Amino acid sequence: MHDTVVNAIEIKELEFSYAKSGRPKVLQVDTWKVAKGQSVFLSGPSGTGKSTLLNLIGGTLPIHSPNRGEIRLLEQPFSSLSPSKRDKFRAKHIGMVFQQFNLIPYLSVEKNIEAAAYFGKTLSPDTKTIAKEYLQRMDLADTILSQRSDTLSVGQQQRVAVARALINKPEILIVDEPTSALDESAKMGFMNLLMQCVKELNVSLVFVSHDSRLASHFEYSLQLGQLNRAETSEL
Amino acid sequence: MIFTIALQSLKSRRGAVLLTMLSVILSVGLLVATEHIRLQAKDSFGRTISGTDLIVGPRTGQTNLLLYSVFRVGNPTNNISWASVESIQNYPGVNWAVPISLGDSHKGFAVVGTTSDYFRFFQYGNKQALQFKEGQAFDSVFGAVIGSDVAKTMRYKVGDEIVLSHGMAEVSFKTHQHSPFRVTGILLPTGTPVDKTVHVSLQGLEAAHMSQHQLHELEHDLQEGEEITLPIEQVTAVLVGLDSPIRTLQIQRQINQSALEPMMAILPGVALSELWQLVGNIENLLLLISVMILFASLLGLATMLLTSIRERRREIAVLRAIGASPVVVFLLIQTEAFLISVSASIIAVLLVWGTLIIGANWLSEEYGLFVDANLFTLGTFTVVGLVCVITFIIACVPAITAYKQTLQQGLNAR
Repeated sequence: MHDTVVNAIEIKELEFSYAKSGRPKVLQVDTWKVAKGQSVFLSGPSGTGKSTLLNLIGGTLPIHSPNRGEIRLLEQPFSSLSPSKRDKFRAKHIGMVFQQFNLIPYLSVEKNIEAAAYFGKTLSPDTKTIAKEYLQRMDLADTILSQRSDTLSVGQQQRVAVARALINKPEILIVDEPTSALDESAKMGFMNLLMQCVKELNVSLVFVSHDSRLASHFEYSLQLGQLNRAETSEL
Repeated sequence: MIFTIALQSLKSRRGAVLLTMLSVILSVGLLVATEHIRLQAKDSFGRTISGTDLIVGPRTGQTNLLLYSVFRVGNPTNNISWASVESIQNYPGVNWAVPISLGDSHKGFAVVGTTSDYFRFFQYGNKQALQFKEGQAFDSVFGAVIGSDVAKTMRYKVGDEIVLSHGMAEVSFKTHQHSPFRVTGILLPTGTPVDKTVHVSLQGLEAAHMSQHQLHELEHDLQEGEEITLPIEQVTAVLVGLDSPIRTLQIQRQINQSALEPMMAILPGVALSELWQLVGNIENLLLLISVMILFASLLGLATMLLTSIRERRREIAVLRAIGASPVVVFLLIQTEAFLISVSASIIAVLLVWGTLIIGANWLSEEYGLFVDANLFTLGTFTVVGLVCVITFIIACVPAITAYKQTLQQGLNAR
């Protein structure tokens, strides 16, 4: 079904605030679209609603009254899905990578990746082989599979997080400031690997960062302020 | 997968988890042990005497009479005359009447003076008769039959000589050293106070209390082969078996109203049940305390999990990001709670089981409790089931907290 999909993400007349009443809006987006396979760089100062937008696209925050609007993913209504259907959709179609602490620290790399495959219902005897392939794409050796996540360097953890986010072959990848804890050389290495992987797998990428120098890696760059008409701070 | 994550999560917090487990092990162990010993004690208690329809003694409380005549606990306050014994034996409907006489001891073991009928008629458990492991009942004045624990503890065998002491103390200043008894038989274990008893003939007991001069004369007569009949003046109690249990109450009333002397007849079953009610209340109190301790330690488990939720916000956010629903997070916390309580329960049961195997002898020797070490009973499984139910209920607090947290904060766990 996704061969005919044009838009990976489509937002219409979205309004969101954390409290049910009396609190200012965090997000107010009239319309925004991300095409399938497109990579978008999203920047903006702290407190402008970047993480909230990612949570809403990822389906981990519900849009309920008095909030309104619609988020469609892969041209299917997403924000109106029940929480459990949103969780299933996310597991199958969306990969997420955060700034830090992407992995469950006490699990091995293999178990971290298997857990994502399990919740995405793609866990099979081939999962380990696929995991090795993605780790190689991210320039990591197979031997890392058996290592506990909290024994890896931050750079390694971020690359494992990308491999894990891709294990279910998602159509959308949401990445929230993944390079902020990396030094310059690691940052560039990580970006090159990520962009190469995303291109090869034809994944739509929404990438959030403060670092405007990274924008050159993307097809499309956007300041959240251009998108968000809400005037107040998120925090 | 949830199980793997839960297990690894617990391993990563092993310090707090082990302490919590220890607390649950102790409380479950306490509960299992209390319940098991309570049931075993009740069973052991009810097995002490069987097939005896009435116990007759001097007027006293029925619990007191039962305690000293059956459990060898306490001292008789009075005796009944031999004439009364003979009158009871002649009551219509009385099948057998075995007199017993208490008051002496041997190295701390109670001595019971009785007749050889005791070994024919006394029953325990489910109407089981006494059986000899070695030897036979006494057929002479100075013969003795010892219980299995006496033989085991003192390493006595048939033919050994034993000396009785006056009174029940383990160390006595007055021994009947001039009238040693010879072991003629050793009984098989019964799991009752019989195992800790030295049985001698009433006449032997009478002889042991004679002066040295009278003893010499008696020994001389015995050596001459004369038939000795020493007059018995008093006994402590009489165990009575009737032809038909229908007449029990009637005969009990007749004995209670006897004109010969003040006596009372008690029904062992009724007295046992009355005694158990006294002991049983304490047991129930112990059980209640054990349940409260279990509840407290499971609350500790819930507290440990609840405090860990705050530290695990990031981990939970990662789980949500990879597709775990809030229900999965709820189940993860519940699984962790179950892993702790079920594994602690298994360890507790095994520990109690091992302790009972090792301590069974000590319990029987010190307290007369015959506890079966087999813990794998319905009662134990009920306790473990109860632990699981309480765990689920209590672990709902951290599990629901984690569930709500995942709904409210999204992936903003920094």
